[in-house]
Amino acid sequence: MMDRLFKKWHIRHLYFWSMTIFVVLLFAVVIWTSYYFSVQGIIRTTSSHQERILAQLNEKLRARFSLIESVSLSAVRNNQLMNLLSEPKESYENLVAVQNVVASLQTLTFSTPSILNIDVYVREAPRSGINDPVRFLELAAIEKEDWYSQIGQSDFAWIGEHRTIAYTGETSVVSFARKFYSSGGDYGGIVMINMKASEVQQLLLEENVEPSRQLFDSGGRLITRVGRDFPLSDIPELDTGERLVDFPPAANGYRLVPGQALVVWTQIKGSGWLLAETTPWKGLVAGSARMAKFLLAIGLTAVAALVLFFFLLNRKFTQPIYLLLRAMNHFPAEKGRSMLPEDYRNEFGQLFHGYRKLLYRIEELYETLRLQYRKQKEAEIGALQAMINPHFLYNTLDQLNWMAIKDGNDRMSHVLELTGKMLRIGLSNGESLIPLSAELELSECYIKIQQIRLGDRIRYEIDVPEETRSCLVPKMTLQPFIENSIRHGFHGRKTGEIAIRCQKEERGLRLIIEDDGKGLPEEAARLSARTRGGYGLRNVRERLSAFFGSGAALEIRGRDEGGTLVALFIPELRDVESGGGERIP
Amino acid sequence: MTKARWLGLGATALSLVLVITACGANSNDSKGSANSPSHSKAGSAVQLGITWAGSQVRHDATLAALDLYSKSNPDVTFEPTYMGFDTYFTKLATLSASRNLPDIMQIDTGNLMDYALRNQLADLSGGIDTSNMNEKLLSAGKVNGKLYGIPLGVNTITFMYNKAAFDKLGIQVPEKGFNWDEWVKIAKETKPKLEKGKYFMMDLSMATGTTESDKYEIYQLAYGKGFIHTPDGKFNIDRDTYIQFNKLFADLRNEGIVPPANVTAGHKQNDPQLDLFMNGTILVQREYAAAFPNFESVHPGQFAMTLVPSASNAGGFMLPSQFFTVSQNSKYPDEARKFIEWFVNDKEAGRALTLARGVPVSKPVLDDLSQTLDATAQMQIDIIDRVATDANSFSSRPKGYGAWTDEWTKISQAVAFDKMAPEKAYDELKKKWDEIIKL
Repeated sequence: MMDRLFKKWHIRHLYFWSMTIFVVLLFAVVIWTSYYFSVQGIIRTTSSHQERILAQLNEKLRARFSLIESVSLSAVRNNQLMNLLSEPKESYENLVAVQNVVASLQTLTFSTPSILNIDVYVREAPRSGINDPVRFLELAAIEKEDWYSQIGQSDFAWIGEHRTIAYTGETSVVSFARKFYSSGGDYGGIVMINMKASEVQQLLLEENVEPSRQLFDSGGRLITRVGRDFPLSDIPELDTGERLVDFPPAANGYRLVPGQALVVWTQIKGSGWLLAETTPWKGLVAGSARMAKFLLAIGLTAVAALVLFFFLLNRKFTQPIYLLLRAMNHFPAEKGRSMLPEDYRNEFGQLFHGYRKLLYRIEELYETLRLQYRKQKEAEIGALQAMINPHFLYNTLDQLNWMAIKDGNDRMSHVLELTGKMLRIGLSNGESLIPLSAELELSECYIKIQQIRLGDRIRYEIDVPEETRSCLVPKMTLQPFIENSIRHGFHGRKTGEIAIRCQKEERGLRLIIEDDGKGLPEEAARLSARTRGGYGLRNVRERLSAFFGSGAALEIRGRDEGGTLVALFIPELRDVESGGGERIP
Repeated sequence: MTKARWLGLGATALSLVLVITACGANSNDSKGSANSPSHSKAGSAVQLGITWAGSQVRHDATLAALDLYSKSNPDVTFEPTYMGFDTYFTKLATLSASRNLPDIMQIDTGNLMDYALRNQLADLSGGIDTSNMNEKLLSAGKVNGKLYGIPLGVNTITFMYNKAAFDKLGIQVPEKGFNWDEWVKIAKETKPKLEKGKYFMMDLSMATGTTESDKYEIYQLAYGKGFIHTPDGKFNIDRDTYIQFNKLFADLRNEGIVPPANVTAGHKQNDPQLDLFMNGTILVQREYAAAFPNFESVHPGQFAMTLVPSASNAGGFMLPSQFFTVSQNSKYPDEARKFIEWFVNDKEAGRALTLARGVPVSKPVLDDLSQTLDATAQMQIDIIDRVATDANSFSSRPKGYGAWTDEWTKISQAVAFDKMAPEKAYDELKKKWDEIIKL
């Protein structure tokens, strides 16, 4: 897939977008990571810090609540209160008893600043002002209060924030209610100590911070809170059913409600109460969010700068490639080469240079081809002309033959006939390799013509095995040697004999041409003779070399018994096509 | 550009990115840890604890004045605690015992000496402008020549009566008021006209709160026997007069002119339901003029004031309604002084308070106020003017007086319930005086 993209897309886009995406991803990862870890760090610090604070608060609250509890205990164990419950009294005694209870409870109230007032619920309650710090209230009235169920079952209970009317007006209070019994053990009523909720809240508060803290009793009922109300039932550790009845075995802990708040809680030692602090998510991550924004701003700037940078870099890098491409598109035209800039010295420079050189070579090659083509055309024309000439010559020879026959010149007629034959084999449809048999026939024709010219003074002998006759040899290979033997070897001699032999060897044919003529002249004389009549011989040598390279061999030597021996080795060529590939007309 | 330079550029860019991210992470860490100690100094805010007693009208007026002060002095805030009179001094005594008194306290003539001599009050001589105050009034705030209490208002003891009921009953109270005989006569005449459960007047012989010995004191004053203590603090209850007074009220109680003792015991001052005068159980009570606005606020136009009964003598006296004192242990004594100075001398403060703390002590404040006062306020000023003509000269209560009046309350109740003979009660009171008030 990736590979295909790299093969399909424009290099400029590919390069630009891959770099841009990479950088954007890099920044995103960096920003997200720092945000994530900073939030994690803050949560860790915050929660441990809060746990510490809550533990301290625990101590304070415990002290405060146990103070109230002990005040309450001393209130219900108060002799005056016990006295109030004993036998019905006449009104003055009752007044004094009530006043004594009031006096002692008042002292408790006033000496404990956190106590707002004390309500004493009894049957047939003495009249007391709503503004009094110690009030007597009818016991029956308490059963209507919605918190009554909490004290109904037990001897004492903390009652969460509720409202009561006091001398300071209607106030929110947290109360501790305790049942009291007469000395005889009869249920007398309830003494309820009201603490100003604000006092408890003050405890929950810290200097200069605005925390959200909630205090629950062991039944999971809210006693009081400061700050935001956060439903803790969202916390699985704290929610065991409908209410927060059971507490987690761990006395403290924290949980993150993502996007909402961090909740840290501790249990108040010995009471099963729970103190929970919630920190709103926004406040918690404000710092990190600010940092992330800051990083994002930097990131965007950097990405913008980098993208610009990539864009320019990309242009610089790909420009040469596009220049090269454009130059290639303009290829045949001469200006293609001049479109390539000259000032690159790096790899691009080498590439341009290479391409320029390539162009130059190609142009050179074109030129050569053009030349060759012209030559070929000329040769073709020449060959066509040459094909016409032999026929003309052949026809003329035939007419001459008929003229000789008509004149009764049989010898001439025979010569002409042989010449015609030679000419036909010599032409042999333009083939340069012919079967040995045809070459022998051509040689025989030549010798016969010489016999007619010179009479029976020349004899010849051809000893060729039948199987070699089909072997291919370059045409006119033998004739030049025979001509040499007759013209030079037998010059000035009465008779001469030429023998042509052939031997099949492993990889070719060995042809021997022997004569019993004068043999090879002296070294100096031979050189001059070469210059004079050497054309045929040189021609053979060159052609052999052209056909077979070093595969062919030509040896000329004088015989011991007189005369000359020419030994030719021609590598075997059975197939005309492979041997005579190049048809030179 | 060479390859090396490109590499260099890339490295720089990369390190820049790393540095930026590293910085980001660092700044975060430091923020997390630097969270707690931030903004620990909250400026030089002064919080003054202030406590007073009184009715709702006084609470509201005083709170309004505090707000006003905080507005013009943003550095100063108040922590007010306020309550009714009945338990106020009990609470103050408890706070005093725990050395936990607020900066500014309302104290009255009955307690000033107590707190001053126990060295719990700051000397306010100098530092507060008292030039506009009546010298006589000011001297009530002095103990042993030192000024401990700044009087907040002029007050006088009065008979307060249910004017609406009186009008229906055809009783006209004269300018100078009735004397004791006239009151008793009218009471006896009126009694049959009242429905069951209604009584003519308060049982002055039975105290229901603190410092209520003045209920008897006006009787002794009227009969020319002076205050219940001498100006130098000696016990001065006249045995015969005391017995005569208790006999009189025992008779009135028996005749149903004053309520039975157990009804009186249920009296709760200023409680709309339980205040016998406010709820119409009784038609006449002894009350201080400064408390009038509270009754007026509950039943507007229903009540009026007259002089306390006279006999051979006038029974009335004038006194500072309350003092503001400054705790010896106050952390901000100067701020407290500054506030009191403003509280008594500033016209704005005067307008906020009107007469809720008695008639203003500062002449310019009173003058400023009198232009805007309504009829009830005018009545308050008026009664003070009327009492002033032949008022007994008031002197501050001796040290321990407050505690002794608690004993008075108990003893008076015992007498009212017929558990103690007045003669025995007299001896008890004298004994307690000697025990408590050591000179």
